[in-house]
Amino acid sequence: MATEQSKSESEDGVERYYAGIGEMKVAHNPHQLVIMGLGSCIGLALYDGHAKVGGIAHIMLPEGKDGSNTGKCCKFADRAIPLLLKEMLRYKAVKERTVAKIAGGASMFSAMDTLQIGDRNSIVVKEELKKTGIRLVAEETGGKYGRTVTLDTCTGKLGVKTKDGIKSI
Amino acid sequence: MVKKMDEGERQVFWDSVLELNAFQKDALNELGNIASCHAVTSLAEMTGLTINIAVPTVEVVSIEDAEKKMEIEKMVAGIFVQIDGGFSGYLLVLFPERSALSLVDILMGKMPGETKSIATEMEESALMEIGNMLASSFCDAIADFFQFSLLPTPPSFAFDMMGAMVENVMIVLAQAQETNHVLLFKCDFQEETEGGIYGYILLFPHHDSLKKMLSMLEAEVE
Repeated sequence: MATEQSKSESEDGVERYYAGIGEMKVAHNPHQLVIMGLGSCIGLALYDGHAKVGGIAHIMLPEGKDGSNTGKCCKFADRAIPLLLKEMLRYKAVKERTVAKIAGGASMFSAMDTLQIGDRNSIVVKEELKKTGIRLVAEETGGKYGRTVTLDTCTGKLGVKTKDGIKSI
Repeated sequence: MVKKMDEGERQVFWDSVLELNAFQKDALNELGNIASCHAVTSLAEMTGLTINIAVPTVEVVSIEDAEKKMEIEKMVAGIFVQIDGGFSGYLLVLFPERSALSLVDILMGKMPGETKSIATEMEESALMEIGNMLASSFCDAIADFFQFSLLPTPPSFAFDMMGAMVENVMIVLAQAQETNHVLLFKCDFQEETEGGIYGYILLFPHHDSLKKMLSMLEAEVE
C-alpha cells in the first residue's frame, strides 16, 4: 500500500517516511513519520505503544461526496481513519491499544476565516475517531500558522514544528 | 465494483476538461505573460528596482503534485487576494524571507539589511501593500484583455511555510469545486542584481472561470 512507495531518508539507521496530501504512512520503531507544511489539513497520528507501531495520514477535507474520491485514499477524514487503522493492524498493532494525536487545521489567511475549513476538519476527524473507538490523547490544532509534524515510533511523541519553534505533544 | 467504475469515469471527466490543447496553452501563457509584465512593471516603478521576469508557466496539476513541486518548509511572506467579477479565483503573491526583508528596507527607506524580521504591523503592511499592488495590476491586465471587470478583495497577509499557504488555498478551491486539479499560473520575477529580490505570483482560477476564459480566448482568435 502507501508504505511501499514511501520516500525515505536514512539518518542513523532511522528512516523518515513522508506523507503527501491524501497519503498515509505506517512504520514500526525506530522509524519516523513526517508530514510537512500542514495548513488547514490535518495530520492524524495513530500509535500503539506496545507494538511500537505508528501511522500518519495527511487529511485534506472532512468528507468526500459520492464518487468524488478521484485521488488518494486518505484525502477525506471519514475514509482515512478506517484505512489507516487497517494498515496498522497489518503491522501487528492492536486497535484497543491504539491512541490518536492530531495537529493542523489552521487558517493561514484571515480572508479564509469565514470558510472554517481547518476547524471543520478538526471537528470531523475527532468525531470519526470517536465513532471508530480510538481515544484522542493530544491535539495541536487551529490558529493561523503552518505546522510540520513528526511521529517518533519509539516514543509515540508527536513533534510539532512551527515558525516559532518545536514542541512535543 | 460499480463504485470503482464511477470513480474511473469521474477521473476521465476531470482530465478531459482540464487537459489543455496547444492553442489553449499558448493563449494562457500569453495572457499570463501580459499580466505579469504589467504587475512587475508597477513593482519596478514603486521600488525603483530593475526587475527581470521569467517566462510565466501555465500548468494543470493535481493537488498532490503541486505540493511536490515546491520547497514546502521554505519561509515566505504571502499575500492572498480573492478575485470576483468577470472571473473568479484566488491569487497568491509570495516573497521568500530574504526578499521580503529587502523589500521592507526599500519601501521604508531603511539601509539594506536593516530589517531583520517580519515581526510588527509595519513590515506586514509594507509587504501587504506591495503584494496588493502586484495583485491588482495583474488583475487589471487580465480585465483589460477580456474587457470585463475584476474585483480583488482586500489582501490578507501571512508569514509562514510556503507549503502550508499553497495547500490552504488549494483546499479552499478543492472544497468549492470538488476538483482534484488546479490550474496554476506561475510567474517568477527577480531583481537584476545577484542574490536580489525575487518572488512568485500564483493564480488559481475557479473551474468555471477557466472554462469561460478559454472560450473567450478562442472567440478572440476567430
